[in-house]
Amino acid sequence: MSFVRRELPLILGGVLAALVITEYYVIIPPLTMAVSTVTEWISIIAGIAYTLGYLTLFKYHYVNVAKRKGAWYINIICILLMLITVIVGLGLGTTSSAYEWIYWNLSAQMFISTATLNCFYMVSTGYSAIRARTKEAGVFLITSLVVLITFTPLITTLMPSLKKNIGDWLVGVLNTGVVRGITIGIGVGTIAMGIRTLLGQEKAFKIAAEG
Amino acid sequence: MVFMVIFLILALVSFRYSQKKTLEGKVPFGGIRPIVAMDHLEEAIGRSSEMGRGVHMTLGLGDFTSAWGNAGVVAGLNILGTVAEICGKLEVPLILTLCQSIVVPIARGIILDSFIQVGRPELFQDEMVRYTSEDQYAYAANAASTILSENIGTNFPIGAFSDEDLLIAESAVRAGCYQIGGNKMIFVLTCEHFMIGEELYAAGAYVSQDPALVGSIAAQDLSKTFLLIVIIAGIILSYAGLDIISKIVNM
Repeated sequence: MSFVRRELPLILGGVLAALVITEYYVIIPPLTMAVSTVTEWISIIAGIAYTLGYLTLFKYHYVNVAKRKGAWYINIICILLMLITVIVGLGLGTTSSAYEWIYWNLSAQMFISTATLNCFYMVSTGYSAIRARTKEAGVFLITSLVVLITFTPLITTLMPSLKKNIGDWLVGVLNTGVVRGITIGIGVGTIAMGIRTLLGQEKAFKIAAEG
Repeated sequence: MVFMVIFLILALVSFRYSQKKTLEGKVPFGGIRPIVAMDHLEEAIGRSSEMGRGVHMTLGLGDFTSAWGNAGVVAGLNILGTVAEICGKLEVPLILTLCQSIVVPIARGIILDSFIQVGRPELFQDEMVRYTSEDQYAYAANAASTILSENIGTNFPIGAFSDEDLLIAESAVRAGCYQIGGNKMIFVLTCEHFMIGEELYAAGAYVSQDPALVGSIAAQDLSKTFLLIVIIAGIILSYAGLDIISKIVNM
């Protein structure tokens, strides 16, 4: 039983991952077909996971309403909206005018409203930068200010060399170099984590495999 | 392609060698660098415990079913285990906000497993792991609202984030949270400690203190050093008019 619960899922995961990696480097038609099938399984699993997610969300809101916890009346609105969207989507189809009305007049509007909040948070974070709580934040602040100043229309008009010699250098050389360094680091880190996962050493993968 | 295969084989060999040496009691290649953010995990959760507040963690938009952010979510889940263990030990309420339903059962398993390891399985509740929405801003709004309404004292935005990062991290700043974040540069401004680049991917292994995993970090550093040498050699040789390194890399 222990083998079925622990070792078998790890072996299966390792073998499938090895197949996918091999297919990336070597073109063998049967292998490509096998990998394509495995990729389709992912879509099926994701579909099942959506249902699980929906039920989890429904349970969370339901428990809040049942316990009258916090702003429970908002949870009622959430439950109603979830039910209406699912019923309309499944009953009339996702291309129906009713479903599209829900999307454009509710979902899209809420999406835009939340997205615009980001502007205010950026200002607030800008204030955090001015406080320069850490050394790194101080460097961030100085660099941002220099770039900001050298890229303003007034400076680019009056002192174009300042933008060319300092602003462009900071963005094109310093920033690009640092980002590339971070990208290489992420690549190496991802490879190392991938190897640990393939060997079944990562905790998340072990638990996922054991279910 | 050939260089990629050679690099992968070299990484695998150094990985196994490093793990073997670490299991024998000696971390090779000069040991591993400290990950400062992870050294402050206990302090961050302890602060919440002292203030009678909770801990919130979120893994960002990363998805198991697509290439984008996949590694970030796995890295976040690896850290989640240690966070849950400390929360279990200190009896601090933990809330995990997710935007990917497929991660929900795995996250629940990790938290329960961690609570069992510290002898506190009774602390686990299904409601600790909250699925919000696959929609980026609905997820961010929910995570921010959780931070502001659930008396959160410590926030861990660790995983794969996009533009919603500030909605979550800045809400936590407003709530007076202590934050440890990764892997977005903007977290420099909002978090007390942050992880950049490969630190996030090594963090799970680093906090586990498992010799095999610690050995893998040493191998990771070696692989990076190898790439650094290749890059520097490439620059020097290209200035000398030799493009041998770029030819090898592009093979």
